[in-house]
Amino acid sequence: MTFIEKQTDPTAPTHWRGNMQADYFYSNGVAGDKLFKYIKNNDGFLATPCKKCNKVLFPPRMYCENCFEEIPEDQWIQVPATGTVRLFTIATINAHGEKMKEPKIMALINIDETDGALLGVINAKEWEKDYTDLKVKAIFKSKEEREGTLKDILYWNIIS
Amino acid sequence: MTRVCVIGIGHTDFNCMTPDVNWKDIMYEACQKAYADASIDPRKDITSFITCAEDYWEGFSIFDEFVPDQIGAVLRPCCTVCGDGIYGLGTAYMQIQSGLMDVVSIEAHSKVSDLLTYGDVMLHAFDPIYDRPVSGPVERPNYSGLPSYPPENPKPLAGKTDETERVHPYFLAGLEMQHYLRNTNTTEEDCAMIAVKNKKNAFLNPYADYEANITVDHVMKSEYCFKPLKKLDISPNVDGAICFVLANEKITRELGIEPIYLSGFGWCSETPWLSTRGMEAEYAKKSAAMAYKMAGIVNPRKEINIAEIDDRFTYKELQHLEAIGLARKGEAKELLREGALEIKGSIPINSSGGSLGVGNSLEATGLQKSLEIVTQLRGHAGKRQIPDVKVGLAQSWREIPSGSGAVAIFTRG
Amino acid sequence: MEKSNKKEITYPKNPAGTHLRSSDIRNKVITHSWWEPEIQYAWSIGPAMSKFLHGLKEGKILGIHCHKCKRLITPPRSFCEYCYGPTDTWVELKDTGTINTYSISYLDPNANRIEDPILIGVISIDGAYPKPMGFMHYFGEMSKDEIKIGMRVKAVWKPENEREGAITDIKYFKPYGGD
Repeated sequence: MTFIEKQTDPTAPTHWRGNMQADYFYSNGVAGDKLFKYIKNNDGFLATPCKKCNKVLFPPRMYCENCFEEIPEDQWIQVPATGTVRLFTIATINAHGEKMKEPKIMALINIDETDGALLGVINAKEWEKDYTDLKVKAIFKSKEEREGTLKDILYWNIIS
Repeated sequence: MTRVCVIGIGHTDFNCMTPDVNWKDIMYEACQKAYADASIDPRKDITSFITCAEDYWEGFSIFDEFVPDQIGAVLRPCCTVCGDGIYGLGTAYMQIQSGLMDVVSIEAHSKVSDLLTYGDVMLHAFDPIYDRPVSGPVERPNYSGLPSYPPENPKPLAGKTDETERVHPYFLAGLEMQHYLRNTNTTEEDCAMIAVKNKKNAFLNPYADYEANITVDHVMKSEYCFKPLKKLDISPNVDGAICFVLANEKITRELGIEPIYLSGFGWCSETPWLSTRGMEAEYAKKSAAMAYKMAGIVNPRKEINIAEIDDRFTYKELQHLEAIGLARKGEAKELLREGALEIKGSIPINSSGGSLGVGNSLEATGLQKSLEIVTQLRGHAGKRQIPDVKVGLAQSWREIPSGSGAVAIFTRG
Repeated sequence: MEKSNKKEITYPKNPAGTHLRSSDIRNKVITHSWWEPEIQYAWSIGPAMSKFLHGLKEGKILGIHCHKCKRLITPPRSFCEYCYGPTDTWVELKDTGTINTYSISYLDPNANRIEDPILIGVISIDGAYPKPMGFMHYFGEMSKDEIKIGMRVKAVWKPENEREGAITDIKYFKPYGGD
């Protein structure tokens, strides 16, 4: 026994409650700011090609994490807000570990004309279906409502 | 060059809840036991102290400051590594190899039962711009003033209403599992067998908390949480603390301890971008390659006798086995079906019960894996003892959403 | 190092950056994301703190001995951080002490300027040793001009029915004349 006394009274005080308040505003970064300002006015995306790695990076970045090469601003390209479902899962549990009222189809979506991908929610309610490789399209909020965050995408609709 | 030896191990029991003791108490217990095991006085004999912890798991900013007392480090060289306990072993290895330190204590623990909002803390580790917003509503914080003080206590849990509900971060494991199953022709039943095996092994491990007599059918019938990931594919959280004492070879001999060497160590991190990450545990592959090279291991399958592999989710054990080269790609399920991964098999994996059987001990996971390997190398594993163990491997992953992990190889002298 | 050994640096030599002020976020000059995590704890307090808090509820300040190091520790703990052994005997201490150090705060907890400053400091509790041994608390019934190091103080307790087993069961420490 490492202690001389132990807690043996179950009615004694046993815990102390507390919160950690940690609210943040994250600036989207130079590349992110450019993308989200574009999204505010367009139903499409921007991407950054890395000439050295021969890859089109999405979400766009200022530099390629593979070769660490800077991507010049004039090389940015416009890409459509469409893609293919690379992976999906049907989530039924919320962050508190409880069952959600309705499942959500979470997907990793390969963005067309890029080598990148984005997480998204698929707007569908068939829980047994295989969504892999289906074509999807981002559905945005109305332009007036857009705020310049990923939340401007409401969900993804299946188009094939 | 000296070699680095394990001279002491200590741990608490692992329990789903530990309301009777605080985080200091469990750390103290594990360390006291490790120091007693090594027959050393921490206040005199240990030259450096390392704790591995993450502030948000603990609920403290700068948790480092709350560490020295309970590990014996007051007024001594002490630091905290923000990561899995296995990184502490690597840090200690470097301190000893460089000649800077002779005897180093490494502690890692989980007091996850203190944390009421595990899912939200884990979501907080997601990329805030591209990944987190997908999980659910994000209310814009009120910027007009500073937060109220003192905070309303206890505050109602926001996620409990439908309007503010966020998806549990484990959905990423669901995505990755789908990738693994599809690319290796592994079935959900195979994954279920991992849960059955590890929970069965846990019966033979006195400190494990999630032993269970279940069948593949139990796992298959447990509800889908993040399809194809089911409830029993997920390792449940557990509290516990572990302490290791490492020393150089000279001191180990002077203490009359039969050396168990930390003979190889490697670590690796992938990109945080989910879009470009391979989802094939490249971190495990590269950290194992580094550790094999250091330990002089050419053919891991032949030279490694046992391994403890990160199994926070069932498919992870199979995926990691292939990544670290103990199985070829897609072969892990064959080994599993043949029974090779059982305690009596040719390459026993997670004889301790793993995270599925012991519980997910957060940052203590890497040390729990290492603890089992050292216990087996010492021949102290009781009913789960595997005969003639000379070389063992411990591997751990820093869990969701990370692509980071490390491998440690231990060799009996 | 020889200059010729240096590799050609290809990563951004002068990465583009934007000077930002918090007003740029408020005025939406730049786009930004936000997040408010739900982070709550129920920290187990362990046997020593449990007994201490229970003592406060009863209007008592408790301490615990480490006989080996000749310390009488408060707030009490399960082990002594100096000898690394378990602590042993419980003792009820007086609710009086001496100001070890203090600060006069003109900011409230939300960092707003306040006229009437908060007096806060560390109290060495009578009977606990070696000095300084005690805890932090507020001071009251004294002005910012009266407070000084070495001043004798006594706890002012909340009424018994309002105590909840917390350090704030003591409202503050006030000047204390007689021993």
